[in-house]
This record gives sequence, C-alpha cells and structure tokens, in this order.
Amino acid sequence: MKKRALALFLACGMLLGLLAGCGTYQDSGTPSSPANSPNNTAGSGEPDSTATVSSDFTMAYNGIVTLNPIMSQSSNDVNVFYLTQIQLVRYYGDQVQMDAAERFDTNDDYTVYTFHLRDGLTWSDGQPITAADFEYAAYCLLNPDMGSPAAYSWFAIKNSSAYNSGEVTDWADVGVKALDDKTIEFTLERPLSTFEKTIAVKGLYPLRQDFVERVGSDKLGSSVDTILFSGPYVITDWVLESTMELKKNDLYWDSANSFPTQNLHFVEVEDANTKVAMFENGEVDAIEQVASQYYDHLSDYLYSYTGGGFMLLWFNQLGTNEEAARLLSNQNFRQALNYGFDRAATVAAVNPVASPSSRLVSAAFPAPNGGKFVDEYPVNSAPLAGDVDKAKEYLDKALEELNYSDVSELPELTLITWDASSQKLLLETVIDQWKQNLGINNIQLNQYVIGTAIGAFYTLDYDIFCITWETDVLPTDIMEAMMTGGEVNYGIWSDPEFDSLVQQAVSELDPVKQAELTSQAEQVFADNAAILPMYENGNASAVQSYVDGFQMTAISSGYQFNQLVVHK
Amino acid sequence: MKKYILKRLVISVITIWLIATCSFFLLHALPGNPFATQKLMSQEMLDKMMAYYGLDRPPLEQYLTFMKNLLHGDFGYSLKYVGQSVNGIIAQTFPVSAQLGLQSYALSFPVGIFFGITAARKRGKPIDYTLVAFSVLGVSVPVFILASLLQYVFAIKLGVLPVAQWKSFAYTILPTVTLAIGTIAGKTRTMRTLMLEVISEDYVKTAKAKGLSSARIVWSHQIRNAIIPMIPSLGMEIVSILMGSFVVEQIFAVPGIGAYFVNSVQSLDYTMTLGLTVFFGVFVVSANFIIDLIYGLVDPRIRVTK
Repeated sequence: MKKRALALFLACGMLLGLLAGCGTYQDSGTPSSPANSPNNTAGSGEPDSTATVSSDFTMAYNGIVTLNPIMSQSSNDVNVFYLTQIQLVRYYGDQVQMDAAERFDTNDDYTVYTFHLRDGLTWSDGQPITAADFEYAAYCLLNPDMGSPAAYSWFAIKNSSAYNSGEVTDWADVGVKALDDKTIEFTLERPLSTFEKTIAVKGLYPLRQDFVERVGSDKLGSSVDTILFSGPYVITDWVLESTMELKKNDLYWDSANSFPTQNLHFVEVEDANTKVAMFENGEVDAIEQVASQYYDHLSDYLYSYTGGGFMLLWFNQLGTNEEAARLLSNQNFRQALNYGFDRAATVAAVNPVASPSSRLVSAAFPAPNGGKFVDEYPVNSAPLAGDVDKAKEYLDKALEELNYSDVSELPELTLITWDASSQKLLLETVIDQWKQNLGINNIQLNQYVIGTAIGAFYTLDYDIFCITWETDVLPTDIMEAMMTGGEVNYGIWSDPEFDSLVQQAVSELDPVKQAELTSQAEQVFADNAAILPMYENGNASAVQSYVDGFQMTAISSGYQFNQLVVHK
Repeated sequence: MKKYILKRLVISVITIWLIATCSFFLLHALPGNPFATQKLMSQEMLDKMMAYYGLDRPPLEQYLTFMKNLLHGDFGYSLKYVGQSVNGIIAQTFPVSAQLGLQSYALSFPVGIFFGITAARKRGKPIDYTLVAFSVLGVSVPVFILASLLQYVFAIKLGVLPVAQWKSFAYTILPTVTLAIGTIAGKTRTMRTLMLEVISEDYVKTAKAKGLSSARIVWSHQIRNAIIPMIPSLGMEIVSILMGSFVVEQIFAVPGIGAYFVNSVQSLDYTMTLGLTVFFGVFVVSANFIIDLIYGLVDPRIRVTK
C-alpha cells in the first residue's frame, strides 16, 4: 500500500511538472496582436542596421512528392518548382512578370500567343535553354502515354484535348510550336485574354528531350540527379519526406538582382508541436504551415493569406437512396441549410485564417475597373451570419412540398468528409447549428481516410460531402468544373441557365461583359444552393522577425523568395 | 533436426505468402483511388491514371504480376512518390529506423537489467520504491508526452540538444532516450520480478552457506538464472527495435520507415503498403524462425513435441 501511495505521489508530481512545463511553453510568446494583413511582407520588424546578413535560410516546409512537373499533383511541388525552374512568365505577388520570355504578343482576337525568349538562358548543366524545350514540356504534359494528371490544365491549347484522348495523333496538329530557338507560339482552341496567367499559374516548366530520354520519363524528377534545373536555385540534396538543400543558381538570368539568399534549407517536420518548438529554439527561420492551435501563441510572427480555394458542401441530388434524393433535390431544403448556420462565427471558432464566404468568386479577384469583384458585383445569397428566420421559412416550404408534417420525419442523410480533426470540428459545429436553429436531427457525419473519402465522392456514395476545391486564375474555372458533366459534377445537379452563362462568360473577350456574365452565373449558382461555399481557405506561416521579404500568395503557388533577406 | 528446420522453413514461406495475398486483396477491396488523395480530379483523368499504372486490369492479373515481381524481390514503384521504387525507399529509411532502434536498445537493455537487479536486491528500501515508481511512470506515460517534455527541458530550457531532425549524433540523443525510457521501465519491472523469484531459491541459499561473496552469488547464480526467461521475447523485440517507432520518428522528424507505413495506407499507395507489409512480415517470420531454431537447439523437447 505504501509503495502504491509513493508511486501515485510521484506520478502526480511528474504530471504537475509536465503541466507546468507545457504552460510556460505555451505562454512564452509575446502578447497577442493582430496578424499581418494578407499579402503583406512578413517580419516587418525593422532589421537591426548592425546585424549581418546571413546566407542561409531554414524553413519547416510541406514536403514534396516529386521534382517531375509532368507527374506532379501537389501544390507543395509547385512551391519548389518556383525556385528551381524557369517559366515563360511567372507570378510575383499578384503581378505576372516576364521570366524566360522577354516579351510576348497576341493576335487581335487572342487566339495566338507568341513568346520571345531572352538571350543567354542556361540549364544547370550549362547547355542553352531553347523554345524547343518549352514545346517538349507541353508535349510531355499532353502525350497520353506519359499519363500526366495535369494534362487538362492545358486544354485551352488547340487540339490538346483531342491529342490527349488519342483522337488526334499527330503532334504537329497541336497548337504549340517552337518557331525558332527563341520563339514559341501557342494557338488556342478559342479566344482567351488571360492565357499568360494560365501559363504563370499552371507552370510550363521547360524539359530537355535528350535529358528526359536519357533518364527515362518514369524516373524523371525522382531524385536530384534525374532532373535539370533552370530556375534561381538548384537542389543539391533531397531526402524524400525529410530534407531538401538548395543553392543559388548563378546561371539564372536574373541572379544578380533577385533571390539574395545563397542557401535554402528545407526540413519536413510532421509534428505541429515540434515545428513550433524548433521555431522558438531558433532551429528554423520560418514554418510554412502553422497549425491553427498555435495562431495565438505565434501571433507576432504570423504571415497569413486567404484564398486559393473554397471549403464547400456538395449536395448529391441523386442521393444514396430514393428518399434522400427527393429531399436533396428540393431547393428550399438546401436553402434552409444554406441560411441555417452562421458562417462568420463558425470560421472564427474553427479556422481563423480562413475567411467566411457564401460566394464562389474569390475575395482576391479583381473587377475590370480595378476594385474587387465581390464588392463591385454583389450577389444575393445567405448572409455570413446566417438568417435563422429565413431558414425556417425555407424549411417549412420544403416540408410542405415534400409532404412531411415534421422535421423529425426527414430521412437520414450522411455527410462525408476526410478524417482530419479540423474537419470534424467544422462540421460538428455546423450540424449542431442546424440542430439548434432548425431542429434538423437527420444528418450523420462520417469521416474516412482521405483516399477512401474521395473515392466516395467519385462514386457518388454520399448525400452531402465536404471538401475543398482549389480555385484557378479565373472564377469561371471553378464554375466550369461545376457545370453539368463538369470535372466535379457527374450528375449531382444541373441547371441549363448556369451552364449557358458560364460558357458565355468563358468565351467573352470584353472584361466588363465577362464580369457581368460571371456575376449572373454566380447568382444562378447561389439561387440553386446545389453546392454551398462555406469559407475561402487560408494559410498561416510563421516567420522570425529577422527575416525580410518572405512571400507566398493565394493567387499562385510558389516560394516567392525573390527578395528574401535573413538579418542574423 | 534437418526435418525440423525444413518444416519450420516451409511454414515460414507459407506464412509470408498468406500475408502478401491477404494484404493484396484486402487493400484492393478498399474503396477509393490512389490518385485522388491530393486533390479532386476529373473522372476522365482518373481513369487515365488508373490505366497508366495498370490498375484497371482484372485483380487476378494484377495479383499475378505482383507475385511474380515479389519472387524477384521487387516491390515495384510507389503510386504516390512518382518514380520512387519501394525497394529504394526501404533502403533509404530502414537503416535510419534501425539505428534509432539499436541505439535505444543498447541503452535500455543494460540499464533496465541493472535497475531491475538493484531494485530486487534493495527490496523494500527507498531505492526500490524510486525504481518501481520510475518503471510505473515509464510504462504509463505516453511517448508523445515524454518526447515533448524532453524537448522542452533539454532543447528549449537548457539549450544543450536540438529539438528535432537527424543530422549528427547529438540529434539522435533525444529520440533515443525517449524510445529507451519505456523499454527501461518494462525491463526494470520484469527483471525485478525474476530476480525476486530467484533470490529465495535453494541454490542461492546453498551458495550463501558455502560462503561465496555476494557479488559472485548475484552474478553466477541469480542473474544467470533470472535472465533466461527474458530470451523468448527477444524475437519480437528485435523486430520492433529495427522498425523503430512511428511516434518518436514523427515527433523528432526522424526520416525513418515509420511515416511511410501510415501515410501509404492513408493515401492508398497500394504498392508501397504491400511492399512494406511484406518486408515487415518477412522480418517477423524470419526472427521467429531463428528463435524457433535456437529453442530447438537449446531444448530438444521442443523439436520432439513438434
């Protein structure tokens, strides 16, 4: 008995010590202050003029899967490509800048784009980069034998879709041509006034045919020896799921004026707590992605931005059974759910760097007159705080139309998402509000591992699904994917008016008319409430105060370290 | 003896075949798709990817290809990590996990045994209570709490060791100790119990009566007898040591094999999951095979009854 008492005492002591330890750990940061505004350059604390500039920058990064741009599926990969590969044009902040191309021109109806390369572009092995290398990259992306998951990103190019599906077999018929060593021409399927933005975001990274054939396209980019570099940095060492070492590439055309930091050290740390401990211990100069529970703790160091995609609720109008299908096909029921929860409060509680939204156009997207699209073209949709009275009206109408006398009679609906704890928190909060506000008790949350969950999304094995969809350059990109038979809509809803408006908007060249059509399509989308936006995604990095020029944006992936300086 | 070895060998091979076959069909029965785990993709594009990797063929055909490659010791290419062979990934990560495991075992085995002996010899004294308390705590405190505590004390407060990563020996100390503490605690308890059983045996009394020094009694009569029952568990221990610990590897950002086990299942990376399962299976089966053999050698009764 005595022994036990002692053991218990010791255990308590140790636990107390632990708690105390954790306490100090959590509170050792400085008092909270508002996070940096979006797209600000972080680490705004004035650099000490006497501090020396370090040639090294270490970051806990989101590990990458491959260096092969043809097979890459992850924006994490693209972040690194920004540093290691040249592009014709690339984003810096929200501006498209010339990179390999010195200039480009288009014909009058925006169907032919011609890019003129600068002189003296060089691969990391010393050979010149030519227009043929860009054409070969397009060939690899679109060739059906290469199996690129990114092929569809380039379907704006003439005959590219047909070539990718095997209907057109002659590469010469596809609208990509290297006219000479310095000129590459793209012919498009239909007029498009923003194709340079597509190139900047999707990344047409050059590939040299002799090199790809030598290493084999299936081995390309699986290690630092099986890829050539053309960007501001070369990778000297890469351990999968662990570390990456980058060294400044002096052969890059703009190396004298940009990317001042000599060496970048990236380390992949899976544990959120360890990342923060390393940051506080000065072992890393930045954390690419901070878990939301540390936002308060690291508030002085946060670099956050909103955008890049929406968290959406998808209603499957085909349902998992007949009764569910009948209920979900009812627009008033969907609107009841749409109005029946408070997006602003939910997001504030669950994911503070995200921004609540009931719209489909990103808040960052510019209107033709220079303002923000969401301000210039308002849409009548559920208010961010929700509207319980209106939701109840919609629900009563739905019950009447479907001949239910009470909400308790509604059939069971399954809401499926992947197994992240943040998803659980988000959706339980929403389901609880539907319960409180509308008395809806029939929605059951199921979480699967991500692969299985997305499998259910494709086989339509869900009533309601919650997952993000990344946005592209234009709001019409996301709308196109949601059209009848679109990339993410195989029958869950259909509205001919929406389809026709999106198609008109896509092919409209006049920016004002295009914006109007987009806005009309967005209104139809909101009225349908077939897919509900909940919030725009956000990300928060942590950056030490001695680092200047850390930049990442929502518009385009990429470690935009063009002006990164470490004063250490 | 030859017949016994042969029999064990056949059973081992059948076990490995069963592991491979069951895992293959179970894995392919999972709903979902290995290419849609990063983000949503159109059905058309998905079908193309499935065809590119031969995943649209009938399961039996895929199974035969898998078995054929397996016989050549080839686990194939990962579906998630483009262009990376599963063999390559094992070759890269397994030595790291093995180093971590071996280091922690090299620390925990002698220390645990020593603690156990000390506690048993000083039974009822403060040192015994302290060691028992330590072993109860060591077994019951979850490893992730222990890891955070050590990081906090030795990296953040004292600043003598790095928080995480795997670059030089200094980086290996905290993960090694974290992993070792649980084992030390377990070993302390087991060794203490075993020693206490032995201490009251007649031959110990006889040795005392003969006037042997207490050091000699402890070494020659007590420890040697007490330690024998610890040998059978060695087989599984070696396996778990060499495979390291997923949790410790994750917390200390150790580039070991653990992360791939979990991630590959989650991302439905069939080839990777199968390769690792079979690799692990071969390991367990071989370790048991060797232990069985040693048993057979040490104790003839075992091979007779079998």
